[in-house]
Amino acid sequence: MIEVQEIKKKYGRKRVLDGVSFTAEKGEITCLIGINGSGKTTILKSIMGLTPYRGTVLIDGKPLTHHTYEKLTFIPDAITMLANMQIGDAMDFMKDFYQSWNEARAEELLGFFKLKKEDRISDLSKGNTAKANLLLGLALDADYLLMDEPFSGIDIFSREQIADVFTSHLIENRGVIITTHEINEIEQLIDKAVLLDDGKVLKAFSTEEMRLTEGKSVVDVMREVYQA
Amino acid sequence: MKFLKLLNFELNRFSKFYYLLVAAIVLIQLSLAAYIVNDYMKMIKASLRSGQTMPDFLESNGKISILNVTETDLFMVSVVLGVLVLGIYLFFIWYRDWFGKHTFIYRLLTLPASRMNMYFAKAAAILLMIFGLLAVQVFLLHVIALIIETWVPGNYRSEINFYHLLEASQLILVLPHSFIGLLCSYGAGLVVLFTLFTSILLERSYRLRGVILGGIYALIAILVFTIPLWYNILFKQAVSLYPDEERMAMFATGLAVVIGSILLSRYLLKHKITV
Repeated sequence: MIEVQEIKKKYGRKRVLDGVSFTAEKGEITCLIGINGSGKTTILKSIMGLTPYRGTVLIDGKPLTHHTYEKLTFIPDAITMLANMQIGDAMDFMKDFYQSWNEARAEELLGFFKLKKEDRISDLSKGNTAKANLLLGLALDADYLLMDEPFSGIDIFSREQIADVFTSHLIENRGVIITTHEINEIEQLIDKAVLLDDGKVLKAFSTEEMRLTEGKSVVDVMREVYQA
Repeated sequence: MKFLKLLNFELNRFSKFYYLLVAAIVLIQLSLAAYIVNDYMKMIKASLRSGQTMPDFLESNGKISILNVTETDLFMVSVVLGVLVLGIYLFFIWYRDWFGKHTFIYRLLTLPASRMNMYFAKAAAILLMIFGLLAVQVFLLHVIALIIETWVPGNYRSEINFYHLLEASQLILVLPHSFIGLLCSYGAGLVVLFTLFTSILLERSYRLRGVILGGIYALIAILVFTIPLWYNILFKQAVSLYPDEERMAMFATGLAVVIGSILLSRYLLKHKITV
């Protein structure tokens, strides 16, 4: 389980996170929802140790160390490999550095996303860049995946293909934290929603419970919370 | 093991540019040597044609030596070019990972290995490239000496051994002729390298505030490193240090700055770095 406890963060004088707390379980998809600037990406960076913060983040009850990166992977909205690399080179790089790299799954993902090892990263379209990014993250046998805006600025067919990942075995038994300001693609797939605004958690709830007890969808709750 | 992989990766990333740099230096220095030797030979031939004797020629033109090549402005430009490019690379090796469409720093900082591996891989890559250029330079000096030896008759050239060449030329700045000199020059280089790395990491951690902090850190590091020099200036009337003592003291202060820089960088990479 990823436990985020009372995280606070300032950029200069601007407070971007103001006591954010939530948990994300293994085997669940937790979605951080909020408009641009609500602090979604900063939360993911804080969990990954990519920016300093106040508060506590625990991964399976322990603070982050470099060993944790074998079981916790970040898929940001820009590719994290060098532009002049081919996808095959990027896969080799991952294989070299991560014990949790799963070559068979990487090959499967190549086929799933219809990418080729010879494709140069700098030549990829925005949609294919997002897919290559997902490939490099998903091919790790990591327990937790942190995805930052995976649907942002890409065409409808790529969106569908990426959305298919969430219903596939590729993320089975893994904990996923995904940020988005466009909920439509994955509304039916998420287990937990955390609504953010101005660096604060406005509401965190189990989507299943919300549907069963109050008969409301995520979008219904968003309307209620944000319009209020 | 991960350090070696990262070092190999860093070297490969810059290799094309580095080979270009080496090729440019080789081209400049060998062309210059060929041009100077050819010019000298033309002068010998012209003087012989005009009936001038060898002693007359040597009296007015002197014997040629490797110093005729190494002391030209163009030769020094080629040496400075190498120093300048690697100086810029010292900053580029960090900043290229942060900027651009593909932010590789995300990957580097989330590798399942201590972030100090990345830090030392970058430092080692720069050091290896510096020593690589030095090796090329030493080799080129021998080739230039060979060019002179092959083209110019023995009576018209003066032989200068390697030790005296370094002693007599400005090359002593990059190629010290004694082991102690080498330790001093490259020890100071190490101090500069690790101080600048720390200043860059301060900037990457605190951004605008970090520029000021980085500047202050660099200033403090220089002050600490040069304490023995200041001591001699301030207390020369009382008890000043002998040259050997001064070198030892600078070795100690340099070591303190390097260790301090590494420890501060470690703290910044672990707790303060921001992507």
